[in-house]
Amino acid sequence: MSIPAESTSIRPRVLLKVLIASAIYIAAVRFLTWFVENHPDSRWRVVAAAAPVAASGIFAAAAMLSARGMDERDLRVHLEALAFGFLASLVFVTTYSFLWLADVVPMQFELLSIPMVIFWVVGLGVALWRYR
Amino acid sequence: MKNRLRVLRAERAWSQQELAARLHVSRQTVNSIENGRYDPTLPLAFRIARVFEQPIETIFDDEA
Repeated sequence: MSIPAESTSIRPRVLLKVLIASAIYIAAVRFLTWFVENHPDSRWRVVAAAAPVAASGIFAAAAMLSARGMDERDLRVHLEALAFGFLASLVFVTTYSFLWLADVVPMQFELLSIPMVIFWVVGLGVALWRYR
Repeated sequence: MKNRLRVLRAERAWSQQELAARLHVSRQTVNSIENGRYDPTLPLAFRIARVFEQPIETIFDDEA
């Protein structure tokens, strides 16, 4: 079994950085969405539409690299947070989709990413409290 | 599962941070184990036993 030389841990500063990065990402997506919708003839339209994919890839790679430095307790905390975030998002999106089919609520672009981040933060808080 | 981690650490006058460094885990992990909130995996339990130079069963008690 490989042991990290110096284990990282979940610190408020790291969580704050993730939340700030998420806020910037959401703001950028909103701007890019506005740009794509309002500039149908622009040659930058495809680049703007694909830009969030690159940012998401970098975020995913950074998260995976960060996980390698965690010890077993932190990995369990994050696993529980991700499991909660994924399943809660699934329930939320499924419910919202049915409401959208019934014309009760409007369909919005951010409906998947924002609840996933919120549910992940909630799950992280619960897991940190459980293993405090 | 109860354990004697806090007692053993106090006997050696080690801080949680110092024990964490010896075990290559975070201080929060040592704190969680001491409080009984988190049960370590077998590899970590063996590392704890080696650090304190005691058999695992004298540190951890699964019947308590």
